Amino acid sequence: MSPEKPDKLRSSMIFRLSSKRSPKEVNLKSLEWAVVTQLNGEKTMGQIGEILTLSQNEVKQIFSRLFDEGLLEFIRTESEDNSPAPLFIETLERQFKMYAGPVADIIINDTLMELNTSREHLEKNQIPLLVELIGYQISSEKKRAQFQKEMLIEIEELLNDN
Amino acid sequence: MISRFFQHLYKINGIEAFALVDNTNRVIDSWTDSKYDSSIFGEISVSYSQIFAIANQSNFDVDEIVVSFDRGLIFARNHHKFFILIISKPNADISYIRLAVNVSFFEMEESRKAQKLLKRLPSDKPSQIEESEFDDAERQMLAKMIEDRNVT
Repeated sequence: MSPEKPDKLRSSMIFRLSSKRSPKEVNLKSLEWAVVTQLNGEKTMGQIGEILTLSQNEVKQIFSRLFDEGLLEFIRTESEDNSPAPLFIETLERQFKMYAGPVADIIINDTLMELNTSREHLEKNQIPLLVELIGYQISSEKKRAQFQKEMLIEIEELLNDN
Repeated sequence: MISRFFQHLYKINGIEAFALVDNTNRVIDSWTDSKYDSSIFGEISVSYSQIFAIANQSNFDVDEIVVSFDRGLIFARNHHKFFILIISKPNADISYIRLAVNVSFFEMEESRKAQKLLKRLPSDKPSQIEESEFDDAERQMLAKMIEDRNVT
């Protein structure tokens, strides 16, 4: 039986190989083996994906399978480094209110739900998609582009701080 | 040059090369990291130029194409005067790239200098398919497509 699986796999999560089951007992594909060789209890899912040049979807699929096979143990989430500064959400809200008015908060919350996340759990790598989806709610192309420009500057600052 | 409007792209992790290609399939400007040679764009731009030309002629609303290959992604976005091709690692964030390209296009539209540069570029994306260059299989495929279209 596989250990308790986190409710959602995030790129900031860190896993190690389970002591209860060996990868040799499972028929793994080459990419899954490549991920297994990278597991050291220190690298995050995102870092392993980057090393192996995998897409986010591929990383999630592979980790999901390895977990379901009982090969992984969840250690922790590197939350300090990957959750966005609360200031960003505040900035996003403030800027978006200029375009969407009082419904801005509702749209942001709905979009976060679409992304299966929340203000507290939003990861930095989800921010561009959040801004993109929210931007679609601005019907004027010019205003949408202006909003995207303002948010791009904020995103660049946020991501380059790392 | 026009590429200075695409400075945002340099800041995105995973972008390995990009090029601006005009409507005659001429690479206007390009940037690559050491992994790629800029001549790669000459080879792949023809296909994208053709797709955008056909989409344009057929009134299909195709402005963006993202294709994955074994070493990453190719992101292409159409502008009426050119298109941009971006080669990235597979884990690059497409939303981030799209956002940066949107903003770059917007900044170009807002810039008089860019507008002057764009005016010098040809407006149409001509289809470069020459029927005389088709082989037998392509002729048969085309005939089948026309037949199917006529039936529907």
